[in-house]
Amino acid sequence: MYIIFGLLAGVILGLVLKVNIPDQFSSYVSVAILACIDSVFGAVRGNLYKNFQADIFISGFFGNAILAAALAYLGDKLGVPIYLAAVLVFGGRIFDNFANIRRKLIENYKNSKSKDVI
Amino acid sequence: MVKNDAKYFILIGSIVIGTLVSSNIDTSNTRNFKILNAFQYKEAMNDSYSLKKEIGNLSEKYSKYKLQLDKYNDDDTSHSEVLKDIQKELDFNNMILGTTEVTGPGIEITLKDATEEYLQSNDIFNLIHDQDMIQVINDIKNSGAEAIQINGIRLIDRTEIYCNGVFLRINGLKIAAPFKISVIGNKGAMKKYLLSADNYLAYLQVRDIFVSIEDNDNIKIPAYQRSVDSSYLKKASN
Repeated sequence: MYIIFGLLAGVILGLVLKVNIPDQFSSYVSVAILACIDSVFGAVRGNLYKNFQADIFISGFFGNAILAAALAYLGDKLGVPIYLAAVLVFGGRIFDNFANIRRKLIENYKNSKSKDVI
Repeated sequence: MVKNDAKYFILIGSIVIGTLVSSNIDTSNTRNFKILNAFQYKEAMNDSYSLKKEIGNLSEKYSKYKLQLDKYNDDDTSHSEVLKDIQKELDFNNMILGTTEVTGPGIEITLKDATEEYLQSNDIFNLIHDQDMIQVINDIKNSGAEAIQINGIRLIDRTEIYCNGVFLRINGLKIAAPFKISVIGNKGAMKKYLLSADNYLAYLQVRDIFVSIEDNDNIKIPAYQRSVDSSYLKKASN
């Protein structure tokens, strides 16, 4: 709910501000976006498991994004597709986190249902 | 409290992601449509066709020059070989320009005034005039000629053909009938084209002027004798 609302607000903000990222940075930003999505999924998961820590989220959110973009840039300069590493790691973790979130949510739902029945 | 914190951060995080995504997606990349009428459409099609053709020609040239450049950059190619290539190109350019003697297969056209008929009828149409020669040369050029001479005078793009009394003036030189025109090119194609009913040689034949076309596998055409000046020409910079 929060995510969808935030995304919508962000998209509108981006469209209103019309921040144009030059084409050559587009691929780096894409990797950075992936890192951010990973962080948000991590936060949701942490929220569900009740072990969310704001400082870790913030540092991960920006740190991962910057590192991913920097790696992608370095890879571009070296001619080695290092961004693939970021894509694989973050992609894998997003699915991992999503699986955990899913399990937890379904579990919670089932628990609440069984409590109702009892 | 911790839970509220997380939601707050998640909200901010997703706002940032949304902003990044929307700014990274190029929204200006919408297709622009324009409705054209038939004439504009035709123009646009012609434009696109000529541009495509140009692109094709340029890429062909590019690959040719690239191949050449690769050859030059190749360590095996010696200095003299490069020079040889340059000389070859120079020779080729001279050949097209007309400043060197050239040989090749082609046809020989002979044109003779109908002198006897002229003496009887006094009809100037029995004689070959500069206009006739210009028309014939025009037809010859259109038939795919690669090099042309008239009575041993090489024709290039600067060649003029004028009436000069009983003579024709070509490249500043006076020549008299009979005119022997030698042309290097595709023998069959040129002959067929020149002898077709709607071309000028047929019209000359109607005027009783003697016209003959003969094949020759070894035509020799001399170089253009005058100097090719270029006092005003400048290479246009692109």
